Amino acid sequence: VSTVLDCLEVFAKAGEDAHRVRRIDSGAPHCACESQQVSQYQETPVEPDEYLVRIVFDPTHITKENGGTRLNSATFSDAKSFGSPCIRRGISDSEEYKRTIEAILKNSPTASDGTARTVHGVIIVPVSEIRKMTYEIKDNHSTAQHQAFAAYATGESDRPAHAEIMVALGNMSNSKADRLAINFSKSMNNNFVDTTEFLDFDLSPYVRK
Amino acid sequence: MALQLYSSNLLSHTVEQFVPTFLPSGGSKRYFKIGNGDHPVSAPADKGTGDPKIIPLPSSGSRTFQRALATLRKLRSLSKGWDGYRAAPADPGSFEDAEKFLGCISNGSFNVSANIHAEGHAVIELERYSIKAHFRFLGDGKIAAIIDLPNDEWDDDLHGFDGATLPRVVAERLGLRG
Repeated sequence: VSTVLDCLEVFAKAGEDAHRVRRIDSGAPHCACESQQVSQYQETPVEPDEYLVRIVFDPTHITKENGGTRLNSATFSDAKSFGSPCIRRGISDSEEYKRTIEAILKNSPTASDGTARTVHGVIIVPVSEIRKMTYEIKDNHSTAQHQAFAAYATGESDRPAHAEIMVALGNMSNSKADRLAINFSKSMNNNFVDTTEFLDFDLSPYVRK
Repeated sequence: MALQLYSSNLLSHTVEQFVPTFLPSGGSKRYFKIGNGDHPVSAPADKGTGDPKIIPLPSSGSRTFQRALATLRKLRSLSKGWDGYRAAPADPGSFEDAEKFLGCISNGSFNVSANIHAEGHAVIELERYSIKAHFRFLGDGKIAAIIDLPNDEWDDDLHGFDGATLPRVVAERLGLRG
């Protein structure tokens, strides 16, 4: 895959179900579309010097234990199936943050325990960090390093700064893909920013009262 | 559904005993057989025989275990879009397997937590000393398993979990005899 048109097609045909990431990886192996346009609503691919913002919801993405909280394994579990949705920090505006958060909360306003879902904070993900993560595949003769994650500019009609992080699946097993997503979550713990410290957008209307 | 967990330590029994209590998945009656110390993780699959001897899910005394079970029962009601509009609804078969799996490891004194994967699968995480494990239940007895010991990472996709006996590799790596 080397043309803009092919990548648009790969993503347009990827669907919305849990095989979305696998279809994209099959159509564009080895993150081949990362530097291409993949959405008709966003021409500019995600650049290596960008930062992506992942909204962290309480209680969906956090586990409370020992008096504190930590990101749980659900946080980036969608990276191997649907793609982990993020917002491109450099090109988004307040309205897009608002639309994104309110759309998510409107779609699923309560958690499984019946409490209201709220915003707990954000994870600021450096794209350079995403793209330098690798995994090894060994055979009898050699060991090859492969890029583990890709970041795509999957802008939508009302959210042009929308982006997704996806596992570069290759032929990896479910358990290997889970390990990658879990390790990614762990590596992002230090990139968590509390609602009060995030200055790009006022998150206070969405926090737990 | 209210949790029905007995506090007796069934590992102390020297013969197999059957005590009424745990109904996995909150549905029809199922049966766990808790053996003596030689068979700490073994239980027969429900053959639908109507055997009235319902088997307890033993309480290991672990509060996290009970919390995990309660969490599973909450999460299994999640519908499509629980995390963004794409997230898949909870998979009933996956959650049933996860509860049965909990029954198999309940005597292991693990710190246990439960969660849901974006694909709607139940997830159980275990931790004890330096053992860390993550199990995603893919349905139909399939498990994406990760068990990390100090300096020894292992993962594999397992098939054929019958709901009654831990896969041997899991039991061995967790330090449980299967």
